[in-house]
Amino acid sequence: MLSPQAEQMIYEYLNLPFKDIAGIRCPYLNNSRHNQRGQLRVLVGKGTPAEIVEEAHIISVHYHNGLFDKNGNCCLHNDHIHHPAAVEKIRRFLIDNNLGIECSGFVTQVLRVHFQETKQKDIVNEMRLVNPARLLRWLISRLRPVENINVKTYADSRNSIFVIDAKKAFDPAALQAGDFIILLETGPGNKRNHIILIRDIQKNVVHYVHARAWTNEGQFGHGVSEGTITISKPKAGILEQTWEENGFTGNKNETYLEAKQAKTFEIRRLKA
Amino acid sequence: MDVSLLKESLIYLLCSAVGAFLWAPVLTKLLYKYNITRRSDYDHTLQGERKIKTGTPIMGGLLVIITVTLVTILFNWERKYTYVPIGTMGLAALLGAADDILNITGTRRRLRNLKHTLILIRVHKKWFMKIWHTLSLPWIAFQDFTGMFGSKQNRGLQAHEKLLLQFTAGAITAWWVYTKLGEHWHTLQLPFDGTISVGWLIIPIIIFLVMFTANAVNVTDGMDGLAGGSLIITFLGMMMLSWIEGLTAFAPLNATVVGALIAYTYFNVKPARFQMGDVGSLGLGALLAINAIAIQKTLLIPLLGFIFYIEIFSVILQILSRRLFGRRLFKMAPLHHHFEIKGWNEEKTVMRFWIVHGFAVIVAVWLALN
Repeated sequence: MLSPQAEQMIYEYLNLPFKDIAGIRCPYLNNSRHNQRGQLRVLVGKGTPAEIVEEAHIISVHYHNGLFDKNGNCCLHNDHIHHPAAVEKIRRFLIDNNLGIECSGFVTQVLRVHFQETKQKDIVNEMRLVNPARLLRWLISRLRPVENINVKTYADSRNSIFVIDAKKAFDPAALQAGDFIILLETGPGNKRNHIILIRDIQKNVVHYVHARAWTNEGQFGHGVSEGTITISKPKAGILEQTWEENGFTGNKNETYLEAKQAKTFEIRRLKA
Repeated sequence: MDVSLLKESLIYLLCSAVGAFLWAPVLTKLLYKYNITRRSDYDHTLQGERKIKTGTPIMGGLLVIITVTLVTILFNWERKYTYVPIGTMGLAALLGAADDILNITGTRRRLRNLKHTLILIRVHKKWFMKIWHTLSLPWIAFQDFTGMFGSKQNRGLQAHEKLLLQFTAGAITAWWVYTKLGEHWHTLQLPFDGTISVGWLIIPIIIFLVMFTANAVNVTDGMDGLAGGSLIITFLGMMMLSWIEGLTAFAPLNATVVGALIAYTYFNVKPARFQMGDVGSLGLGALLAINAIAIQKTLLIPLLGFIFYIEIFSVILQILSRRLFGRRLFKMAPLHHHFEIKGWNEEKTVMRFWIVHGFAVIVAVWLALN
């Protein structure tokens, strides 16, 4: 298991801490589409749940969307706030206003809390982000480390170590909570990179969590999501096991599909 | 202390207030007639509770600018003293008026940014266009940099244009002060004791203070009554200081501004009959700076314009925090919006800001007396 605070953070991404309203899953946001530069980190998909909620309140009050009042209370009728319609409306509001989290941002925020609690280390200060020879970029990365961490940063051997070979027999005992699955050059056209956080390992089941957008979920269905890898073929590699997420297995599970398509598939562990 | 000067100043105050009250309806009518009003097609903040502000005339600051200019030219026109403040105010107000009008009537503009210019230099087929784009690089870089501090609207004057025009206004004033006027203008009075002559350094000091203060008042003008009320307190403080110092030209000038501002604020408190606009905020901000220099209270400007500087520093800090660290320092900048989002209503925010500002001005007066 990850540390209690890291688990709490995952819980908050799955249920954003809006006042008196539960079940709002944090949407997925990838800044490459919006190409925001020098923006608030919450607007580039790197914010914490608390920052996302605060920004939603500010946008709602400032632009008078009427979703939240100045005390952060949901303005939808009180007797309806636990109704799925309210949840859906707020999720749409978040997506329309470019509030969400991307995969590496999510992993960074969770692991940051995890390592602060377990090893009293701030991983963002330990990671090698940019070569100091590129002085300006290096300076920016020191000022805004979270925004400068991406999947390739995690895949870099200076920051993480290789744990499991995907093709060899998959042994969950070799894993530990906080390891991550790196998928490089995957998705349509092999243009995307993705990272999945391993949350817990039980006997034959690996629990993972990640921020993602599946194509079949449309404009408003994406977000932070949980899944499992169940060991169904003990002597086979990890890609031969049963990946289940959101009730889907096999190729209908797009996470699994992307894992299969990835040119680089690795399970790694932070050096910190 | 010369009581007759105080009496004279109070007469200026009353005359200016009465005059402004009398022609305020005419101004309102003219602003409505020419449709110089806030409209949702260019002002994206007019949503929700703020919808009631749609159709409110802007450029109400003309009430103060014109009243002060007329009263001063007619009754208080002294080449050595009142020329410069009125001239500076006029230049800044002209710039503000241009911005206000272009915001309403101007067409949308798309400015080329640094990235596009660099691409054009690389890919353009014509060599002379490559040279042209290369030569324009510093200007585009300046435009991009100042754009970070602007409001990102694509109508009206852009941040870089405003800054350049404000710099020009400040520079003209500074040159005039340094070359045409006497030694009186070259000295700074230190609190508690003594004065220092700054010589030619008065030029950059004036340019900086005029630009900075004009923009400070401009960003404060975001709530009904906030800028107007705060300016009354500031100019009242400066009127007192000029009376105490026996400055026969400046005590009446500051009193005239207070009088006109009283009339303006009467119409500007929520729900506003009209709003100041850039014409008023830039003009009065420049006047504040130049009057403080003229009455030799330059070092007390941070207290005399306390709330304005707090507001503009909140904007600068917010932008720096946003750009450098990717986080908000305030829920929103300028500071009055931070409190608005925290749940204070407009009236509460405005009145508390007046009180805090009044306290700072009292401290400034106390320091000046020491």
